[in-house]
Amino acid sequence: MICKTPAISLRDLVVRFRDFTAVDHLSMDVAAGQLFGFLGPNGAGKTTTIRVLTGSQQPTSGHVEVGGYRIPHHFDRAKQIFGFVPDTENHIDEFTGRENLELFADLYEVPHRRIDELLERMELSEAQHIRAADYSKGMRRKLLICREILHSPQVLYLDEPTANLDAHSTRLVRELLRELASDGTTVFLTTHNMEEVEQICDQVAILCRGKLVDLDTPAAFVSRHAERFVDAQFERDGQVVREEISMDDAAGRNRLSDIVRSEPCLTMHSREFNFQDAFLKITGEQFD
Amino acid sequence: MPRTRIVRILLRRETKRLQKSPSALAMLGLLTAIAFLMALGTGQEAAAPDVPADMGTIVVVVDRYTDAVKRVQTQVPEDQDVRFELRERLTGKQGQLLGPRMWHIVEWRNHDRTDRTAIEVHYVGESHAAIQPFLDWFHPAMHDVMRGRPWVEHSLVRRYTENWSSQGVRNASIGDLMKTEVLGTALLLMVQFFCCCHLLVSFTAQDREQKTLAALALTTASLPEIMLAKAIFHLSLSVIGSASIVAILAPSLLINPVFWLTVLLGSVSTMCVGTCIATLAKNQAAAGMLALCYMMAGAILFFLASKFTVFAACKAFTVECYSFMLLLFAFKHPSTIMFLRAIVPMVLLTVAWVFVARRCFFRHGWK
Repeated sequence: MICKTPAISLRDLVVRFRDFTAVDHLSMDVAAGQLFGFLGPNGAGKTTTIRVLTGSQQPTSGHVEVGGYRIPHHFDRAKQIFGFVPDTENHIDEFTGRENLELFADLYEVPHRRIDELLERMELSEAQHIRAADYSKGMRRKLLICREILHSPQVLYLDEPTANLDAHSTRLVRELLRELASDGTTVFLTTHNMEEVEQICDQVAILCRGKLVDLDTPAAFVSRHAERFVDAQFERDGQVVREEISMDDAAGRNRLSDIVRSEPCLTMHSREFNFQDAFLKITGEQFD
Repeated sequence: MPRTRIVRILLRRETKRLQKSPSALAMLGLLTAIAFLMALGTGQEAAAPDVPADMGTIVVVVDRYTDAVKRVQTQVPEDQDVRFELRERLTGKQGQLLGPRMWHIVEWRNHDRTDRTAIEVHYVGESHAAIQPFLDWFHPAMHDVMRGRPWVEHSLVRRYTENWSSQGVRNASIGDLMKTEVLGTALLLMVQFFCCCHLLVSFTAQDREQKTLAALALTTASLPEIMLAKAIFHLSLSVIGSASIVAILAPSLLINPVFWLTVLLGSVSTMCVGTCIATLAKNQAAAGMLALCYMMAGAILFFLASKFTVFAACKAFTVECYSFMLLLFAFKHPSTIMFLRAIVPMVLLTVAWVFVARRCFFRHGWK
């Protein structure tokens, strides 16, 4: 379900660290209930943007709104409606998994049966009485996600949510995120896992050198930036020749026709162009 | 305004952390055990016989002549029953006259602005005859020092009218003075340091390093509430610890307002020092090391101040200096002027530390 009202609104956001501009006039809206992928190569300004949204970084200039509350001016109200899953787990290590959740549930005034629900959902029920320090990396990650969705936030920021998770847990988290989005939670996700973005995101923004490069659905990205190739192997003068032929222009298409007509073809494969290729193409262009 | 519910939840969290920290609990147990051992030692000493219950408290007000008296002490003939010596205590300028058989504090130094030295000899009992042996020793000794000049006036002041019990005399005697006052004061300062500096530094730096503080700050809890909960927890721990120590060593102090005021001010200022260390250090290990350095630096400064005047001036800028004085005063019932001379700078230093710690925490504390 995608609503028209933006849950997150950035207008001309600039963040500078002395001479270095980490975020450069970034403007975008994220609709409520959307699963939004925020991508970019290392150092693109993703983390800085999230830090601004979570109030731990003052913007140099620009207008930032989350759930209708201006940040940093009304941060105290804004922080009550969002959850933040950072890239590193920040549990109280000497507490058990359950005690960690109980502390946050008490702060948010959430009934403890919600803890049971989430522990069950994330398959952590059996480990709930083990110290968080003794959890595996994947379990710590899942516990962190549980903690940040305890209060059913309107907006959920996630930084690499499926890092260190096994295939089963990854699927579990992806399903949960989709479910949250369909229930109206705006999920703002940064990740380097392109497959994940392609699978679950409704919309994707690509950031490069602090600037917004593109904003669209993953499918639209692929179709707009797709490059079609055919890898052909054929015999010529007794030798095996391999050729990569682009299908995006007439010359390439004619070349393929010639080969098919005149040379004995051994193999012929069309190359699929996925979201990762599109991402690399876009960010590569930016670096060029 | 901080919300009680949030502060209560955060307080519960700090308490739970303490419960799960065996080293912290062991340290608290160790400090209490030391207090018990000291109390046990006091009890054994109390069994020593031959304590004249009516011997006077002799308070000698001297100034620069103290050093001169010290020089002649070897010339003092030993009496079979009473022998007086002069020993140095606290600093080089402070003199203390005491006799092993006298069982009483004999002090004091007073920098009279006129060039006149006055001695007040305070005694207990119906007659000042009890302190006559002291006067018999002190007068000729000082006469030698001053080469026969009339150098001093003295007056005898009857200070306490009630007859002290033997235990009461022993409690004020020099043997117990060392244990109950100096060691007790040192123990109280250690409790304050441990609860308000070491533990706070350890917990807060851990929170920062693990980014737990940042996570809490993103919940409904505000930074002032987090800070308040920490302050209440460590202050309560320090107050409870100090009260336990005093209950073991000198229970009468529990109704002494000077003691409570000193504990409160000392704990608050130590907590502020701890907050600054925890927020400025890079990680938990560095913060722990800094806290240890702070304690060591304080101890070294106190030692140097007793030897060199220049360090005495530096010591005057430490909260511990006034904490120490005030706690000693609490044990010894000081004069109002002496109390004010310690309490005013202590309050000023505490306010300054609160200001600095607040700025440090809000600027760096949770990042």
